[in-house]
Amino acid sequence: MSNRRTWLFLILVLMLLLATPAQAHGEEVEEQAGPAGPWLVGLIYLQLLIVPFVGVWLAMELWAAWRPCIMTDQVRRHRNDDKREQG
Amino acid sequence: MMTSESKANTMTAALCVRKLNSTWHQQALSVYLLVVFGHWAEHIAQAYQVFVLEWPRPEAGGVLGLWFPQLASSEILHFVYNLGLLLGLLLLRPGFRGRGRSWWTAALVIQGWHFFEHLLLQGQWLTGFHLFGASQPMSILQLWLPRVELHFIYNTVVFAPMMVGMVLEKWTHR
Repeated sequence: MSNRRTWLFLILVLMLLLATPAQAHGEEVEEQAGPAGPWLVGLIYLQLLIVPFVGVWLAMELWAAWRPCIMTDQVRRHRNDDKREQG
Repeated sequence: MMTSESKANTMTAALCVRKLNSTWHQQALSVYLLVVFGHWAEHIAQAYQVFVLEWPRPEAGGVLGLWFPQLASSEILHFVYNLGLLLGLLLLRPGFRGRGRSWWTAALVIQGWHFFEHLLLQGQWLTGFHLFGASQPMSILQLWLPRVELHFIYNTVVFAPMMVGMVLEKWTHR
């Protein structure tokens, strides 16, 4: 319990520390949103180029990870069907 | 003093985490990373809309944001997603070994900071008090970079070490 209170107190202090000294230049901060630099556009295009490869690789990983489970279930279902037919 | 019920619950949770990091690690990791990948791709789409197509920022909500604009603007959704991302990194970490684990830990540390920033944003949304005297919720690094750029970079620098960690784990240990 006292641990939880300590954490709450620390978070409160941290938020106050962050909020107090910087109040004065809040308006400046909002003015900052400007056009993107070439580095950002470059980063966007680089990632756009990578996305399909990563997507395909992850989809293959997903299939590789789940295939044994799906197959096992299918085999079990087939076996049950066979048993039912025989019985 | 722990009751026998809470002891049993703790043991069940520990067993689930152990299973998640052994028998089910590959399965859990593949589903988790596919969700993270979808989110990363959405941030790239949003950045493309803002900086290449030059859409107004409030209208640039990624691909899903075209149909569900509230997805991009909902503070609580971002907060919950980032909490889930952090918990996933924590829960799946014990299943990594060697250098793969180091990269995964790097992603965990960066995501820890990213989540803290979302915690600040969420706190401001709930209380109506805005840091730095701003007219909208502000996070600390937003002092230097606007929100779209900042979170686009955050998602890149969290996703990249996760991928490296997964590749290293796969190539060296499986």
